[in-house]
Amino acid sequence: MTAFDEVLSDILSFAESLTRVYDGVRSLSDTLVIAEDLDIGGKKVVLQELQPLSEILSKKTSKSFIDVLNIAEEQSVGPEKVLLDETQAITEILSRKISKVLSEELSLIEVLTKSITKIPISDVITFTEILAKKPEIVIAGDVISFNETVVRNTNKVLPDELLHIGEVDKKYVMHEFETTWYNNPYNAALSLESKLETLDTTNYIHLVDIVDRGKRNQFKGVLIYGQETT
Amino acid sequence: MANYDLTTHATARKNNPKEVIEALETKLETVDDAKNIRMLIVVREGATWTGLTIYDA
Repeated sequence: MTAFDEVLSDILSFAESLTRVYDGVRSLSDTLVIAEDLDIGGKKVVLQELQPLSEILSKKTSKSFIDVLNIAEEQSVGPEKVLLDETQAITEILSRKISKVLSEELSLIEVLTKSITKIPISDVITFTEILAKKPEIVIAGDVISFNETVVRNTNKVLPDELLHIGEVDKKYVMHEFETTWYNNPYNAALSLESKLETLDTTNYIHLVDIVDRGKRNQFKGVLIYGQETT
Repeated sequence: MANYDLTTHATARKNNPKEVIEALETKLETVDDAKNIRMLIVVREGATWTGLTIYDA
């Protein structure tokens, strides 16, 4: 296998892995079609933004990224005859696909583009971990199906924050509760237990704690829980 | 949908948090690992320390 073959293999492996990650795309060729049909608000990914990816590729071969693209133009890749020049770069394809998966086009596209450059091309698991660490950037959309797919692909349990956010047509409502003050923490804990036992298990428990009132040896329980609602 | 069913446990008061943590550890090792631990804290009460945990019954 030549250096170019290795790079191309990495690109396709990476793209195909990400394609599996994002629900709704059955093949890389589907992704290409989607990429051609979509426009990200005119903010097309330009080659300048792909420079970090180019650097990664360059480390694997003596050829520049542009050289890789030019060579790829002349070759068909597998039965689907994917030509890299159709979309300038796999990164752009994936960015466009991401904009379709989520219900809103958001800066996630840019973040992902940057994230892709930060990880080894063959390490898609790391990519999903980056996403998992950035739940704040993932907003409402088909995120649950995305999460489920990620779990299937990684066999890892993602943070609760990522698993529970973004359900389509649902909101997440938080509630807080405080017990009265007690002169010992055990009674505060018992009060918390009583409150919790009034909740059905559709509620997510986010915080259960006991706070004190300085040196006065008074304690109260605090609770934050949440429930999905339509 | 069933409600939460929980148990609260407090350690004896100890003179330092290390002993409290050890007592909590001993207690937790008696709890089935399929059960969720909802709260696990060490609280200072004056000069003594108490460990508290709330977990699934």
